Amino acid sequence: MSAHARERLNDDFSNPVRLSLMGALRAVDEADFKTLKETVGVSDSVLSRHLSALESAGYVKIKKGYVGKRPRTWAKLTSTGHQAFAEHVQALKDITGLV
Amino acid sequence: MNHEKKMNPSEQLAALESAQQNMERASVYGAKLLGVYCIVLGLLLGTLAALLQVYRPEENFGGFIVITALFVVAVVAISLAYGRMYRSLPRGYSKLYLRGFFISMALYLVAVMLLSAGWLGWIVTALTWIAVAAPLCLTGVVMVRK
Repeated sequence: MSAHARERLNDDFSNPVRLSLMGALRAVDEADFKTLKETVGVSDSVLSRHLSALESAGYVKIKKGYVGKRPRTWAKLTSTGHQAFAEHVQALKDITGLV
Repeated sequence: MNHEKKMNPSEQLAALESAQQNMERASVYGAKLLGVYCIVLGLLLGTLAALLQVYRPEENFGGFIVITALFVVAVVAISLAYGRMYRSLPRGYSKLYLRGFFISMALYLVAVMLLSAGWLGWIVTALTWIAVAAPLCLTGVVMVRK
């Protein structure tokens, strides 16, 4: 017997900020911190905290560098992140009846 | 926005769609920027390939060195400018760029191999310019128009 769709939901994405971050990153190859901040509409500290959590879980890869003398941070989904989030979205669609 | 509020599945899907749409709007700039970069790089590479037909290293080594040096300076300058302005890239655009780049580079290598055949005339030189520049330029046009 297959598990109910709600059991396939990933708790790592239940937080609204993390869900939006994963959704935003799914639409791009890579995005910088400022673009993510504007897209998701959160403060630097909130974004930083959730990006670090997603990185620790292996869903996001963070790259730090410099443009001129200014530090800049870019983020992208890992293949694990792509797969885990696709499964989470599919479970959401199954629950809501959107297939 | 309440950052910690739990959402039901329908709310999650709506929030997800909204985040994706916001990011797609934000990454239009990235698409156009990479498109312009591709067009300029394609034109530079095509021009280098065509000029090497005119200034062959065995016949005009000084001209060859100057042209190659100018090319390197131009590529470094546009790459630095791109790096400064780059913020995000729509999904799949890295692969699209690499495809155009490698096709242009392969045609550039063919053009370099043609140098050993001697001077082939202005028509071949013009065709070389077009053939080498086309893959990157067309890739760039596709990106800018999207």
